[in-house]
Amino acid sequence: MTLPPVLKYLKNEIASIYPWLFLLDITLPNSALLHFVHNNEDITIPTTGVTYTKFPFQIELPEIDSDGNIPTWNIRVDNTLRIFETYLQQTKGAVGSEIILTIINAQYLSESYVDLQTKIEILDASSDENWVVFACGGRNLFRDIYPVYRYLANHCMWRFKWHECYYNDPSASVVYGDDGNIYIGIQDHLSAAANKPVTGAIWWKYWRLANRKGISGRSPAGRLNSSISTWCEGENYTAGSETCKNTLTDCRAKNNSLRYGAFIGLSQKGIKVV
Amino acid sequence: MVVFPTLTVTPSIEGWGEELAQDPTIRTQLDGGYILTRARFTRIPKKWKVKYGLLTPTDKATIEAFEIAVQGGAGIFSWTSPVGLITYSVRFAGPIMFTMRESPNWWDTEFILEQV
Repeated sequence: MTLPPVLKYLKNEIASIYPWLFLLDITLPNSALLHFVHNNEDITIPTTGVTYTKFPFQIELPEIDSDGNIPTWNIRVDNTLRIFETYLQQTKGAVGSEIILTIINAQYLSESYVDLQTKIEILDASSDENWVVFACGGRNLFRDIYPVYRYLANHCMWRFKWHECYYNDPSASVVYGDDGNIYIGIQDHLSAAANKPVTGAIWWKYWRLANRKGISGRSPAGRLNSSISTWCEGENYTAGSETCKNTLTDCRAKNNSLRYGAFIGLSQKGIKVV
Repeated sequence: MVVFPTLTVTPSIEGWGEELAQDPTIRTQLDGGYILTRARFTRIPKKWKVKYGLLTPTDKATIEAFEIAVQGGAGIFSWTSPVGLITYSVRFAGPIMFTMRESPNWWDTEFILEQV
Protein backbone atom coordinates (compact mmCIF):
# COMPACT_ATOMS: atom_id res chain seq x y z
CA MET A 1 0.00 0.00 0.00
CA THR A 2 1.41 3.37 -0.97
CA LEU A 3 -0.49 5.95 1.00
CA PRO A 4 0.47 9.61 0.68
CA PRO A 5 2.83 10.53 3.56
CA VAL A 6 0.31 12.76 5.32
CA LEU A 7 -2.27 9.96 5.42
CA LYS A 8 0.31 7.49 6.65
CA TYR A 9 1.13 9.93 9.45
CA LEU A 10 -2.55 10.39 10.33
CA LYS A 11 -3.14 6.64 10.29
CA ASN A 12 -0.36 6.07 12.80
CA GLU A 13 -1.24 8.92 15.15
CA ILE A 14 -2.26 7.89 18.64
CA ALA A 15 -4.90 10.60 18.76
CA SER A 16 -6.42 12.50 15.88
CA ILE A 17 -9.11 15.15 15.72
CA TYR A 18 -9.76 14.51 12.02
CA PRO A 19 -12.25 11.69 11.44
CA TRP A 20 -11.88 8.96 8.84
CA LEU A 21 -15.08 8.73 6.86
CA PHE A 22 -16.64 6.06 4.68
CA LEU A 23 -17.85 7.18 1.25
CA LEU A 24 -20.17 5.15 -0.95
CA ASP A 25 -20.51 5.73 -4.70
CA ILE A 26 -23.42 3.60 -5.84
CA THR A 27 -24.14 3.13 -9.54
CA LEU A 28 -27.59 1.58 -9.91
CA PRO A 29 -28.45 -0.65 -12.88
CA ASN A 30 -30.36 2.26 -14.44
CA SER A 31 -27.11 4.30 -14.31
CA ALA A 32 -28.35 6.58 -11.50
CA LEU A 33 -25.46 7.65 -9.27
CA LEU A 34 -25.77 8.01 -5.49
CA HIS A 35 -23.07 9.47 -3.25
CA PHE A 36 -23.27 8.94 0.50
CA VAL A 37 -20.99 9.70 3.42
CA HIS A 38 -21.19 8.21 6.89
CA ASN A 39 -21.11 11.53 8.67
CA ASN A 40 -23.37 14.13 10.27
CA GLU A 41 -22.81 16.72 7.53
CA ASP A 42 -22.34 16.64 3.77
CA ILE A 43 -18.82 16.45 2.35
CA THR A 44 -17.68 17.90 -0.98
CA ILE A 45 -14.49 16.57 -2.52
CA PRO A 46 -12.66 19.61 -3.94
CA THR A 47 -10.87 17.74 -6.72
CA THR A 48 -13.98 16.16 -8.24
CA GLY A 49 -16.65 18.57 -7.02
CA VAL A 50 -18.82 15.63 -5.97
CA THR A 51 -20.95 16.23 -2.88
CA TYR A 52 -21.51 13.22 -0.66
CA THR A 53 -24.79 13.38 1.24
CA LYS A 54 -24.83 12.54 4.94
CA PHE A 55 -26.69 9.27 5.24
CA PRO A 56 -26.84 6.57 7.90
CA PHE A 57 -25.29 3.29 6.84
CA GLN A 58 -23.22 0.56 8.46
CA ILE A 59 -20.60 -1.66 6.91
CA GLU A 60 -19.94 -5.18 8.13
CA LEU A 61 -16.46 -6.11 7.02
CA PRO A 62 -16.19 -9.48 5.26
CA GLU A 63 -14.97 -12.67 6.85
CA ILE A 64 -12.13 -14.16 4.88
CA ASP A 65 -11.30 -17.81 5.45
CA SER A 66 -9.44 -20.61 3.74
CA ASP A 67 -12.54 -22.62 2.78
CA GLY A 68 -12.88 -21.00 -0.61
CA ASN A 69 -15.92 -18.97 0.40
CA ILE A 70 -16.41 -15.77 -1.51
CA PRO A 71 -16.10 -12.88 1.00
CA THR A 72 -19.35 -10.96 1.40
CA TRP A 73 -19.69 -7.39 2.62
CA ASN A 74 -23.01 -6.51 4.21
CA ILE A 75 -23.87 -2.87 3.81
CA ARG A 76 -26.84 -1.79 5.91
CA VAL A 77 -28.46 1.40 4.71
CA ASP A 78 -31.07 3.26 6.75
CA ASN A 79 -34.63 2.56 5.56
CA THR A 80 -36.69 4.43 8.14
CA LEU A 81 -37.61 7.09 5.58
CA ARG A 82 -38.05 4.48 2.78
CA ILE A 83 -35.66 6.44 0.55
CA PHE A 84 -34.06 3.30 -0.84
CA GLU A 85 -37.29 1.33 -1.14
CA THR A 86 -38.19 3.13 -4.38
CA TYR A 87 -34.82 2.35 -5.92
CA LEU A 88 -35.15 -1.29 -4.86
CA GLN A 89 -38.54 -1.54 -6.55
CA GLN A 90 -37.35 0.17 -9.71
CA THR A 91 -34.15 -1.81 -10.14
CA LYS A 92 -35.14 -5.29 -8.94
CA GLY A 93 -33.28 -5.01 -5.65
CA ALA A 94 -30.42 -3.04 -7.24
CA VAL A 95 -28.69 -6.38 -7.82
CA GLY A 96 -25.71 -5.88 -10.10
CA SER A 97 -25.13 -2.30 -8.95
CA GLU A 98 -21.56 -1.27 -8.47
CA ILE A 99 -20.44 0.23 -5.17
CA ILE A 100 -17.14 2.00 -4.69
CA LEU A 101 -16.27 2.16 -1.02
CA THR A 102 -13.65 4.75 -0.10
CA ILE A 103 -12.17 5.64 3.25
CA ILE A 104 -11.06 9.26 3.45
CA ASN A 105 -9.73 11.63 6.04
CA ALA A 106 -12.00 14.64 6.55
CA GLN A 107 -9.11 17.09 6.75
CA TYR A 108 -7.28 15.97 3.60
CA LEU A 109 -10.01 15.52 1.02
CA SER A 110 -7.77 16.24 -1.96
CA GLU A 111 -5.25 13.47 -1.27
CA SER A 112 -5.11 10.32 -3.37
CA TYR A 113 -7.27 7.58 -1.86
CA VAL A 114 -6.80 5.00 -4.60
CA ASP A 115 -5.34 2.51 -2.13
CA LEU A 116 -8.27 2.94 0.22
CA GLN A 117 -10.89 2.13 -2.39
CA THR A 118 -12.75 -1.13 -2.86
CA LYS A 119 -15.04 -1.86 -5.74
CA ILE A 120 -17.82 -4.31 -4.93
CA GLU A 121 -21.07 -5.40 -6.51
CA ILE A 122 -24.51 -5.88 -4.96
CA LEU A 123 -25.27 -9.59 -5.06
CA ASP A 124 -28.44 -9.64 -3.00
CA ALA A 125 -30.73 -7.16 -1.25
CA SER A 126 -33.32 -7.37 1.50
CA SER A 127 -35.18 -4.75 3.47
CA ASP A 128 -37.21 -4.31 6.63
CA GLU A 129 -38.65 -1.27 8.35
CA ASN A 130 -35.26 -0.15 9.67
CA TRP A 131 -32.57 -1.24 7.24
CA VAL A 132 -31.92 -2.15 3.65
CA VAL A 133 -29.22 -4.80 3.69
CA PHE A 134 -27.06 -5.18 0.59
CA ALA A 135 -24.97 -8.34 0.45
CA CYS A 136 -22.03 -7.29 -1.68
CA GLY A 137 -18.99 -9.01 -3.04
CA GLY A 138 -16.79 -9.55 -6.00
CA ARG A 139 -17.74 -11.41 -9.13
CA ASN A 140 -19.14 -14.83 -8.31
CA LEU A 141 -17.18 -17.33 -10.38
CA PHE A 142 -19.99 -19.87 -10.06
CA ARG A 143 -22.19 -17.55 -12.12
CA ASP A 144 -19.74 -17.41 -15.00
CA ILE A 145 -20.52 -19.43 -18.08
CA TYR A 146 -17.90 -22.11 -18.62
CA PRO A 147 -16.97 -23.15 -21.24
CA VAL A 148 -17.51 -19.73 -22.74
CA TYR A 149 -19.26 -21.05 -25.82
CA ARG A 150 -21.93 -23.71 -25.68
CA TYR A 151 -22.34 -25.68 -28.86
CA LEU A 152 -26.04 -26.37 -29.05
CA ALA A 153 -27.97 -27.48 -32.09
CA ASN A 154 -30.93 -25.16 -32.04
CA HIS A 155 -30.48 -22.70 -29.20
CA CYS A 156 -28.59 -19.51 -30.01
CA MET A 157 -25.89 -18.64 -27.48
CA TRP A 158 -25.81 -14.91 -28.20
CA ARG A 159 -27.60 -12.42 -26.01
CA PHE A 160 -30.51 -11.04 -28.04
CA LYS A 161 -29.75 -7.64 -29.66
CA TRP A 162 -26.27 -7.48 -28.15
CA HIS A 163 -23.02 -7.14 -30.00
CA GLU A 164 -22.76 -10.69 -31.38
CA CYS A 165 -26.45 -10.97 -32.26
CA TYR A 166 -26.43 -7.56 -33.98
CA TYR A 167 -30.17 -7.57 -34.59
CA ASN A 168 -31.76 -4.12 -34.78
CA ASP A 169 -35.00 -4.02 -32.85
CA PRO A 170 -37.16 -1.46 -34.73
CA SER A 171 -38.65 -0.29 -31.41
CA ALA A 172 -35.25 0.35 -29.78
CA SER A 173 -33.82 3.85 -29.28
CA VAL A 174 -31.41 5.00 -31.96
CA VAL A 175 -29.06 7.94 -31.49
CA TYR A 176 -26.02 9.56 -33.00
CA GLY A 177 -22.98 9.02 -30.80
CA ASP A 178 -20.39 11.73 -30.40
CA ASP A 179 -18.23 10.07 -33.06
CA GLY A 180 -20.99 10.62 -35.66
CA ASN A 181 -21.95 6.94 -35.86
CA ILE A 182 -25.43 5.57 -35.21
CA TYR A 183 -25.93 3.58 -32.02
CA ILE A 184 -28.86 1.43 -30.99
CA GLY A 185 -29.98 0.74 -27.41
CA ILE A 186 -29.38 -2.77 -26.09
CA GLN A 187 -30.50 -2.16 -22.52
CA ASP A 188 -33.24 0.08 -21.06
CA HIS A 189 -31.63 2.87 -19.09
CA LEU A 190 -31.68 6.49 -17.98
CA SER A 191 -28.90 8.20 -19.86
CA ALA A 192 -25.97 9.63 -17.93
CA ALA A 193 -22.43 10.70 -18.82
CA ALA A 194 -21.07 7.22 -18.07
CA ASN A 195 -23.18 5.60 -20.80
CA LYS A 196 -22.75 8.17 -23.53
CA PRO A 197 -21.68 6.56 -26.79
CA VAL A 198 -18.75 6.46 -27.19
CA THR A 199 -16.96 8.63 -24.63
CA GLY A 200 -18.78 7.22 -21.58
CA ALA A 201 -16.83 4.74 -19.47
CA ILE A 202 -19.43 1.94 -19.76
CA TRP A 203 -21.33 2.94 -22.91
CA TRP A 204 -20.97 -0.51 -24.46
CA LYS A 205 -23.28 -2.01 -21.83
CA TYR A 206 -26.12 0.16 -23.14
CA TRP A 207 -25.39 0.80 -26.81
CA ARG A 208 -23.85 -0.85 -29.82
CA LEU A 209 -23.21 0.27 -33.34
CA ALA A 210 -26.43 -0.04 -35.28
CA ASN A 211 -26.64 -2.64 -37.99
CA ARG A 212 -26.74 -0.37 -41.02
CA LYS A 213 -28.79 -2.92 -42.93
CA GLY A 214 -31.98 -1.57 -41.40
CA ILE A 215 -31.08 2.01 -40.58
CA SER A 216 -30.19 4.74 -42.97
CA GLY A 217 -27.99 7.29 -41.26
CA ARG A 218 -27.66 9.77 -44.08
CA SER A 219 -29.91 10.87 -46.89
CA PRO A 220 -28.61 10.53 -50.46
CA ALA A 221 -27.56 14.16 -50.22
CA GLY A 222 -25.30 13.22 -47.32
CA ARG A 223 -27.27 14.95 -44.60
CA LEU A 224 -27.90 13.34 -41.23
CA ASN A 225 -31.19 11.51 -40.96
CA SER A 226 -33.50 13.88 -39.07
CA SER A 227 -35.48 11.03 -37.47
CA ILE A 228 -32.38 10.03 -35.49
CA SER A 229 -31.65 12.33 -32.60
CA THR A 230 -28.36 13.15 -30.95
CA TRP A 231 -27.70 11.51 -27.58
CA CYS A 232 -28.98 13.56 -24.60
CA GLU A 233 -28.44 13.17 -20.88
CA GLY A 234 -31.44 12.35 -18.64
CA GLU A 235 -33.44 10.55 -21.34
CA ASN A 236 -35.08 7.16 -20.92
CA TYR A 237 -33.65 5.06 -23.73
CA THR A 238 -35.01 1.62 -24.50
CA ALA A 239 -33.72 -1.59 -25.99
CA GLY A 240 -37.09 -2.20 -27.61
CA SER A 241 -39.81 -4.71 -26.90
CA GLU A 242 -39.01 -7.58 -29.26
CA THR A 243 -38.11 -10.95 -27.81
CA CYS A 244 -36.27 -13.96 -29.22
CA LYS A 245 -36.93 -17.68 -28.88
CA ASN A 246 -33.28 -18.46 -29.72
CA THR A 247 -34.36 -20.85 -32.47
CA LEU A 248 -33.24 -20.82 -36.09
CA THR A 249 -36.83 -20.41 -37.23
CA ASP A 250 -37.21 -17.28 -35.13
CA CYS A 251 -33.85 -15.96 -36.30
CA ARG A 252 -34.82 -16.48 -39.94
CA ALA A 253 -38.11 -14.70 -39.31
CA LYS A 254 -36.05 -11.73 -38.13
CA ASN A 255 -33.82 -11.99 -41.21
CA ASN A 256 -30.76 -12.35 -38.98
CA SER A 257 -29.84 -16.02 -39.44
CA LEU A 258 -26.42 -15.10 -40.85
CA ARG A 259 -25.42 -14.44 -37.24
CA TYR A 260 -27.28 -17.36 -35.69
CA GLY A 261 -25.27 -18.54 -32.68
CA ALA A 262 -26.03 -22.28 -32.69
CA PHE A 263 -24.83 -25.26 -34.72
CA ILE A 264 -27.75 -26.74 -36.54
CA GLY A 265 -25.71 -29.68 -37.84
CA LEU A 266 -25.17 -31.07 -34.35
CA SER A 267 -27.45 -33.71 -32.92
CA GLN A 268 -30.38 -32.07 -31.20
CA LYS A 269 -30.26 -34.52 -28.29
CA GLY A 270 -28.15 -33.84 -25.21
CA ILE A 271 -25.30 -31.37 -24.73
CA LYS A 272 -21.86 -31.60 -26.28
CA VAL A 273 -18.90 -29.81 -24.79
CA VAL A 274 -16.21 -29.32 -27.42
CA MET B 1 -38.98 27.23 10.43
CA VAL B 2 -40.97 27.64 13.65
CA VAL B 3 -39.39 29.97 16.20
CA PHE B 4 -39.34 29.41 19.96
CA PRO B 5 -41.83 31.87 21.53
CA THR B 6 -40.73 35.00 23.37
CA LEU B 7 -41.68 34.90 27.04
CA THR B 8 -42.06 37.65 29.62
CA VAL B 9 -39.09 36.28 31.59
CA THR B 10 -35.59 35.28 30.57
CA PRO B 11 -34.05 31.87 31.39
CA SER B 12 -32.57 31.43 34.85
CA ILE B 13 -28.82 31.63 35.20
CA GLU B 14 -29.08 29.03 37.93
CA GLY B 15 -29.51 25.59 36.36
CA TRP B 16 -28.41 26.68 32.86
CA GLY B 17 -26.21 24.02 31.29
CA GLU B 18 -24.40 23.39 28.00
CA GLU B 19 -22.57 20.32 26.72
CA LEU B 20 -21.94 18.29 23.58
CA ALA B 21 -25.03 16.40 22.44
CA GLN B 22 -23.00 13.22 22.07
CA ASP B 23 -19.45 12.08 22.69
CA PRO B 24 -17.74 12.38 19.28
CA THR B 25 -14.83 10.12 20.25
CA ILE B 26 -13.95 6.64 19.07
CA ARG B 27 -11.81 5.22 21.88
CA THR B 28 -9.86 1.97 21.67
CA GLN B 29 -8.02 0.53 24.65
CA LEU B 30 -4.89 -1.25 23.45
CA ASP B 31 -2.96 -4.05 25.12
CA GLY B 32 0.09 -1.83 25.43
CA GLY B 33 -1.75 0.19 28.06
CA TYR B 34 -2.41 3.23 25.95
CA ILE B 35 -5.59 4.45 24.35
CA LEU B 36 -6.10 5.23 20.70
CA THR B 37 -8.60 8.01 19.99
CA ARG B 38 -10.20 9.28 16.81
CA ALA B 39 -13.01 11.70 16.00
CA ARG B 40 -16.16 10.00 14.75
CA PHE B 41 -17.75 12.80 12.72
CA THR B 42 -16.82 16.23 11.41
CA ARG B 43 -19.62 18.14 13.12
CA ILE B 44 -20.25 18.23 16.86
CA PRO B 45 -23.79 19.24 17.86
CA LYS B 46 -24.48 20.76 21.30
CA LYS B 47 -27.30 20.55 23.80
CA TRP B 48 -28.59 23.00 26.38
CA LYS B 49 -30.39 22.58 29.66
CA VAL B 50 -32.75 25.55 29.83
CA LYS B 51 -34.52 26.54 33.02
CA TYR B 52 -37.16 29.21 33.55
CA GLY B 53 -38.28 30.33 37.00
CA LEU B 54 -41.47 32.14 38.07
CA LEU B 55 -43.41 31.74 34.84
CA THR B 56 -46.90 33.20 34.72
CA PRO B 57 -49.75 30.91 33.69
CA THR B 58 -49.79 32.74 30.33
CA ASP B 59 -46.10 31.93 29.72
CA LYS B 60 -46.71 28.35 30.79
CA ALA B 61 -49.61 28.07 28.35
CA THR B 62 -47.44 29.54 25.58
CA ILE B 63 -44.71 26.93 26.13
CA GLU B 64 -47.26 24.12 26.36
CA ALA B 65 -48.89 25.23 23.12
CA PHE B 66 -45.49 25.41 21.44
CA GLU B 67 -44.55 21.94 22.65
CA ILE B 68 -47.74 20.58 21.12
CA ALA B 69 -47.21 22.57 17.93
CA VAL B 70 -43.79 20.94 17.35
CA GLN B 71 -45.11 17.53 18.45
CA GLY B 72 -42.74 17.27 21.42
CA GLY B 73 -39.33 16.20 20.22
CA ALA B 74 -40.43 15.54 16.64
CA GLY B 75 -40.28 19.03 15.19
CA ILE B 76 -37.30 21.26 14.57
CA PHE B 77 -37.42 24.92 15.53
CA SER B 78 -35.23 27.96 15.66
CA TRP B 79 -34.00 29.08 19.06
CA THR B 80 -31.72 31.95 20.03
CA SER B 81 -29.43 31.22 22.92
CA PRO B 82 -29.34 34.05 25.47
CA VAL B 83 -25.62 33.34 25.77
CA GLY B 84 -24.07 35.05 22.76
CA LEU B 85 -27.43 35.52 21.02
CA ILE B 86 -26.63 32.86 18.43
CA THR B 87 -29.56 31.19 16.68
CA TYR B 88 -29.56 27.41 16.40
CA SER B 89 -31.85 24.79 14.85
CA VAL B 90 -32.89 22.61 17.76
CA ARG B 91 -35.47 20.11 18.98
CA PHE B 92 -36.68 19.10 22.42
CA ALA B 93 -34.68 16.17 23.80
CA GLY B 94 -37.59 15.12 26.02
CA PRO B 95 -40.94 16.25 27.43
CA ILE B 96 -41.08 19.59 29.23
CA MET B 97 -41.51 19.43 33.00
CA PHE B 98 -43.46 22.15 34.83
CA THR B 99 -43.28 22.51 38.61
CA MET B 100 -45.69 24.63 40.62
CA ARG B 101 -44.10 27.29 42.82
CA GLU B 102 -46.35 27.72 45.93
CA SER B 103 -49.48 28.66 43.95
CA PRO B 104 -50.89 28.01 40.49
CA ASN B 105 -49.87 31.53 39.53
CA TRP B 106 -46.15 30.76 39.45
CA TRP B 107 -44.41 27.93 37.64
CA ASP B 108 -40.88 26.71 37.13
CA THR B 109 -39.92 24.72 34.08
CA GLU B 110 -36.88 23.06 32.58
CA PHE B 111 -36.18 21.28 29.32
CA ILE B 112 -33.26 20.13 27.23
CA LEU B 113 -32.70 21.37 23.69
CA GLU B 114 -30.41 19.51 21.31
CA GLN B 115 -28.91 20.92 18.15
CA VAL B 116 -30.11 19.32 14.94
